[in-house]
Amino acid sequence: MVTRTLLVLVIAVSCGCRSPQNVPAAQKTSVASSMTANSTPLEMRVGWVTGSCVGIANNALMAGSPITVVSLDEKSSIVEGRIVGRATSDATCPALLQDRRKLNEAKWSFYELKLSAAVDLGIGVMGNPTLVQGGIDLTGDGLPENFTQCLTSEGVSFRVWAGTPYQGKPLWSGYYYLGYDVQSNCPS
Amino acid sequence: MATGSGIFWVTWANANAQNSSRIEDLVEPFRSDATAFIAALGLAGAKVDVTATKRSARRAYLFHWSWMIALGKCKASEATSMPGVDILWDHGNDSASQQAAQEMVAGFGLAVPPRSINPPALTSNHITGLAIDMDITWTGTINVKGKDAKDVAITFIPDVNANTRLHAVGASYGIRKLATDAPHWSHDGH
Repeated sequence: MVTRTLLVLVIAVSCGCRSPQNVPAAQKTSVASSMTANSTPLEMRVGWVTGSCVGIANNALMAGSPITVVSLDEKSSIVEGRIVGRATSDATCPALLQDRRKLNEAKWSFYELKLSAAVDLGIGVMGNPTLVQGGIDLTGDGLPENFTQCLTSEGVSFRVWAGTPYQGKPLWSGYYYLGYDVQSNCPS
Repeated sequence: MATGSGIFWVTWANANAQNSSRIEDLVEPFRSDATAFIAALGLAGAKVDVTATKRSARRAYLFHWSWMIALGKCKASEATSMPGVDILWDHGNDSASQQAAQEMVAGFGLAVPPRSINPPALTSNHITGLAIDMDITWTGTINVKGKDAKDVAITFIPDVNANTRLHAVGASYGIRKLATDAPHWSHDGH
């Protein structure tokens, strides 16, 4: 597995939005060969990542399934990985800490990941998504989507946008309940 | 004698500074308002799972200052004190203080988004007993009585933040929805 450090054109939103772009042409060619059409609903293919754990609205993922993670950390990158199995412990999955487990598990299934590089916060796409311009194209329009995270009053809001972040309706949204209070920095 | 910051305080907080999920720990009149709203939901056939009510101020204090110190947002010597939490944040040098605070950030599972300048809060509606987190589910459409005893037909949608009819019924009881956080309701919508 390879971590592709990206030459990024970051849309610099203070809450941390990433639009990884501009991967060299040779790299684009190599990843294009692994592209496959996917008829699984987006909600079941996309999840939010914290540490070595993904929360996703899909309770039927198998160990060994590939996942591509857009890291939303300081250094933007795409990280490849695989599902290890169901996450059962807060040691590998912070979303399962006592203060937050019940609400997170009410909406999401959690899986432990083996990633090629550490990720603090990110958005994962199951399978082998189409990589274009160093980002992920979920809509098939040849353009990378924008992946964002920001803090709400007691959680982290993850979103994927086909267009400009925080304008209109996101393609996908996820919510990581933290179980404590913070000051929101999400754009209104 | 004060105990130095570090992983000890995670264990301590989990034993001595836990948050509550008991409605009885909310303050009046919010407690009665929440009880009435939840009763109306239950009578209508909804399942209500309360997960957080009053949060511990001491726990919030440990979250806040460990995050601030670990991320270098302040010196350990700048941390305020909290009655009942005899913690020594300053280990004599910045590196040791930061490392000990980082143990707590990791132990508490605090989120550290990139470029974040917002630490865990020291004050909130939860800490004052004026907020409640709950998961509300049902199937199809139910009739929920508002505080005026009139039925309001509400259809379930997965995104509770978008269910404005449910928000309106809650508001009639004085329980107001915060639209950014799915489980969160409070006395003033924050």
